[in-house]
Amino acid sequence: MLQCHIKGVQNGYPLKVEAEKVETREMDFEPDFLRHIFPRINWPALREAAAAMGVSDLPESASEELLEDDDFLKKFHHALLEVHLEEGSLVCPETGRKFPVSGGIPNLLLQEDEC
Amino acid sequence: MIASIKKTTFHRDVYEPAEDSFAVVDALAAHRQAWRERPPRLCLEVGCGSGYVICSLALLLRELGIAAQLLATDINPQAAAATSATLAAHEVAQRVDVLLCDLASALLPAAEGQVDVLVFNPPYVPTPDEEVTRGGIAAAWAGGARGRRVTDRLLPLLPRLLSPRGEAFLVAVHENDPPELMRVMEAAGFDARVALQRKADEEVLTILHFRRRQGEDGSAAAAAAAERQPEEQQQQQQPQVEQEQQQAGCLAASRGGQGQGAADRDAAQEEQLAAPLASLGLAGQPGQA
Repeated sequence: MLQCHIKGVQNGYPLKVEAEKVETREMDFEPDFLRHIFPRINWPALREAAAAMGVSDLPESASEELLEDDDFLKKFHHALLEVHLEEGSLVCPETGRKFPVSGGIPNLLLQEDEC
Repeated sequence: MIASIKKTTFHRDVYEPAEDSFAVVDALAAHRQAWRERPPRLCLEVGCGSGYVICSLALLLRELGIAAQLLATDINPQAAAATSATLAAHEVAQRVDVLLCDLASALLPAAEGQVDVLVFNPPYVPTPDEEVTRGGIAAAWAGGARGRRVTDRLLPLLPRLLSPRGEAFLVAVHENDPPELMRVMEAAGFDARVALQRKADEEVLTILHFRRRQGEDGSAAAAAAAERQPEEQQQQQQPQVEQEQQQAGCLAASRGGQGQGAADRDAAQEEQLAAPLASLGLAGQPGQA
């Protein structure tokens, strides 16, 4: 859901993930939450980000019907909620500007000349 | 169940939870019945500071059995780190993504129309304008002219950020002109009300609640219908507002109106929250967490 917002950038989304350290933390499986949040997810962006963090079992495309499939929901749950980028960068697809991620916190602050 | 001051991280460069933080958390806690009926799925706090407020929101939603994704932003790296530590200490870090950015700048337009609940406790103290951008701890309180410089930058983003059923809680003080803030949001298609008003040390705190007006534009009406919002909820809304205001009064009275130290907050919170809950008729209700 994050994007590059440097002035003048047209295609600053989605940011690409460059992972240095990824952490996996188990979380309660809540299908209801997943069904509600699904329409707000940019699937190709999630799939690409997950792949960059070593999770490559998400289907290429996803539709509402898949939300009845437990196996799919579990993969979606894992990619969305259990895999965390601890150290690395988010990279603007247009300019290549890197936003560092440190301690799990992405730094999307801009320099004065970027605003 | 709200965040504990003892487990909240703050220091020289991060705003210590104070009366304004407590007021906004009390307003959120008073809103739980509405969320029980219509669970929010994506919440955002802008300017999370120590993390006390977003952590309390995460705990409240967990208590209600609502699975939601939460986002918290701050412009101060030390505040973002403090929020992470506060969330971890309360074991709710999994549900909250913390990021460093100016207001919600890194979320638009990707998160356009997605945020169900937005919380903003802005730097609201009237100061010379140049203090607003000084950075560090000043960013936590310096509000420039009328204390409105930062609030006035966020308000225009609300119609873009909020979902069709979205709502926002905003902290303001008397000098910020809360009635004018309400008029601004009403003109932007929102219902505006005072969720809570409280006298604290040297300031009158108001928690404003904005909710996208339902039924005016087609998308909001359609979304409301899709969620099968019971009609009686609309009819019940008025009494609920009154109850919440009574509750605010009772909380303020129990604090003696003198402003209460953060350390006393933990000890007092259970008792204070229990009484208004009972008055809302929630205690012992089936399904309560």
